[in-house]
Amino acid sequence: MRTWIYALIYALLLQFGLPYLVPDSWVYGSRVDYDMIKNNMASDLGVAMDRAAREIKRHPEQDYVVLIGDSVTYSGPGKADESIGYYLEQYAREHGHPLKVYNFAQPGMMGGDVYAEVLMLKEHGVPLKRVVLDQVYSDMAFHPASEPMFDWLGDELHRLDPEGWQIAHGPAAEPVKPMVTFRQRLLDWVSLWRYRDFLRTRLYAALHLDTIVEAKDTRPWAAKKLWLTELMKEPQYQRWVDPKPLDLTTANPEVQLFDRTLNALKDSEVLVWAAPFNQELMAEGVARPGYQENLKKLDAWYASHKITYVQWRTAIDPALFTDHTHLVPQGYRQVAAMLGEKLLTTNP
Amino acid sequence: MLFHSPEFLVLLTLTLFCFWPARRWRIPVLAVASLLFYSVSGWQYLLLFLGMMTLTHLCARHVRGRYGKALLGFGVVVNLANLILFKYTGLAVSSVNRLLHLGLDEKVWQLILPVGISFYTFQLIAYLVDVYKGRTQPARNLVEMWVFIAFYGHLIAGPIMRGSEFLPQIEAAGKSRFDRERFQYGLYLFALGMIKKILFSDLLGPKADAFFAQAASLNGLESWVAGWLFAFQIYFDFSAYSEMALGIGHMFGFELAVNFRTPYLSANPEEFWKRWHITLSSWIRDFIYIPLGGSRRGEFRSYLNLVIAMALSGLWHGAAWTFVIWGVFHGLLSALHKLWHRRVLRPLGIELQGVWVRWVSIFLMFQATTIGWIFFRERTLSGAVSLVRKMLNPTLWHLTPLTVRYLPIIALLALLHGAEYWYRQREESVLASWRRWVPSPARALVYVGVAAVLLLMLKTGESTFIYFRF
Repeated sequence: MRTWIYALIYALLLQFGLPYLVPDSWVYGSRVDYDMIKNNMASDLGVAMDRAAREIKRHPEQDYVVLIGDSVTYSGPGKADESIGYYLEQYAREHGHPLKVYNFAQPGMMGGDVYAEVLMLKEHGVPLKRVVLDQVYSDMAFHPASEPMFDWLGDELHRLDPEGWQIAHGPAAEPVKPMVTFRQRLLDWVSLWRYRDFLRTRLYAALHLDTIVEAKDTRPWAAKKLWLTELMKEPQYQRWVDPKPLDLTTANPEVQLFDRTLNALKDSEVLVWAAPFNQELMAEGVARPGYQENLKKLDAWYASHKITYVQWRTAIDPALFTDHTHLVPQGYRQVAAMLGEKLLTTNP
Repeated sequence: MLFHSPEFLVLLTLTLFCFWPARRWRIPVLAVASLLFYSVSGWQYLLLFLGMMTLTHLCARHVRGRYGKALLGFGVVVNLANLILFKYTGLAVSSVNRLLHLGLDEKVWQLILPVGISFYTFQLIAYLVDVYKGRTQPARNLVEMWVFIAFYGHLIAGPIMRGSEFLPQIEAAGKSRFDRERFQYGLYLFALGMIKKILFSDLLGPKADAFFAQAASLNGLESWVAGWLFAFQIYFDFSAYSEMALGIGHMFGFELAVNFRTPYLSANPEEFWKRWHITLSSWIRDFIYIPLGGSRRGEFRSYLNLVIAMALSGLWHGAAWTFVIWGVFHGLLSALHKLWHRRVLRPLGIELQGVWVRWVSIFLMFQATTIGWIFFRERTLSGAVSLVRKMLNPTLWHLTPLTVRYLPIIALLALLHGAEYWYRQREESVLASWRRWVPSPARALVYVGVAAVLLLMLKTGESTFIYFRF
């Protein structure tokens, strides 16, 4: 019996001590590692958000900015120290204005995920003083009605704003399973479970048991031009240059979601940047008059909101792209510099 | 529901809390818990299972009566028909389709396999036959029958329990007292199974998968490595499940049948089947090999019976010809081993004995088993044959960075298997010494440490047991 009492004491120590034993760097390093958290995205992002909230509270003097978005802000396919968040901190430091960047972007995030993430950040107590969102044309323009507008955080959205979830979920989306959500929330209460992706990654690395991670091709797009040119002909990529007239009324669910996102951020300074787009690889689509017309409409629409909006679709040299929208590290460095310039000048 | 899932751990804890205090309600508690456990796989399959169980129960109640033989036949046929319908329709249609070029859409005929159907069908048939032959008494009521067949400790992947082993334990469940040491032993076995599953099977699985995924480009030695990795993966996986099943049994005061005894230390096929999936081997012996005539109808007929029994055992594992080949391979191995003894060693008066002979035999038997596993693991017959060809061609055995990396791991796994055997022989005294010499705080630290590592390494959602497919 004594053994079990000791075991209970150790278990309690682990339960309450673990969050203080895990260093921040294991959870967050210029971004939250996608390969580490992809199987448990909502819960693991929650851990990273708690860490951010704690750090912000601990260092009230430190200036910071929160980045939210998809794989472009995440800066795929490059590494963490080749990402926008990393370069942005570097840029700010070099310009004498230390800035902490919390990059919560994840590949594949859509309008519903972005909105859910904003709500989660608020729930976890991260003060959203300044928020930077990326924007890609394909998301806002023509989202297939049959697909949900979230990839990762649908359940969180359902929990935090059921109405928003209704808007974001297409007819084909699977309904939220209450038991699954309950199970997740119950397990999240166990510290070891909550931190396990972060701890496991360290353990695997220490034991050289790293799981196979898909090779990331960071070569410039010209090195794989033939293959990419063929790939871009597929419908999901043609959406990126769709010339159909754009509907920016509230009949477009993406518009509704964006409005809700902005409403949730009404006390924040919001900077939206239209992500660079490879004008050379997508030359044919980009030249379509309908597409160009849509871009103008879209730019005007964003500009009509109470946000700072910058349009950088053509701002990056096509040689710095690794595909139609993702960049090589030098490209991300340039975007970070542009963001840094904007952030430091608008809020020095 | 997997044994290493949080849901199961909650169900197990709740069942235990309800089971022990209420003597009169112990069996109903287990019945409801097992009902819940199985219902997760789908209510349609639960109804099917309940239907088959009820029908078998009714047959068993009257199988010793006037129409006994007819009821026995009826019960066996219906159970087999259920298994054949769900498990083999796809294989039958695709085979006929390919043979006669009928152009059928094979996907339409691929029915979803109800969880645990292969295991519960064999258990129901064994029960019916055992009752008919007077080897066991029929279950007293439907609830006890349900717990006998569907107790979640053995429902999905065995051990295949016989009525004479398990029914008396169920009937006595209301009278048994909580035995703390036995309960702790159950916990220990459960944890041991978890360790095997999470720290070995789940880590070896992706490595073996990666080898088999590039089977066409492997050289001879790499093909062996692929086979060895899978051999250890499937051992750790299945014995982990069986270990957990035993542990769960002990927690409820039941003794389930042991299914594994370090099988890769077998020196011949006969010994292998007495150490690998023991309850299935016994079933095959009692309900296929012996009814076919066993060894009573002459030497060569006994060899044929062996091959037929093993081929059917292979087919039981999966609805694919590769499984049948795996079974035939083991049948031939057993037959050849007997032939070698009877026709070569005995006439020449040679008796192969001694430690070295045993170790060489173990080594050779393990290689033969590994070749068998190739047929079990590969999806296509041509793929399996191609791999085995490479394995058997010494000119293709080359050391590559991959083999240099994995051969020490294989050696370590083999040593571990030996260590397991050593430990099992001394388990009781080791456990007693552990309790006597290691102070409580240190023991508790180890327990919490092991639980923490298991929780960290647990792959939820991605990891199931290989034998759950069967």
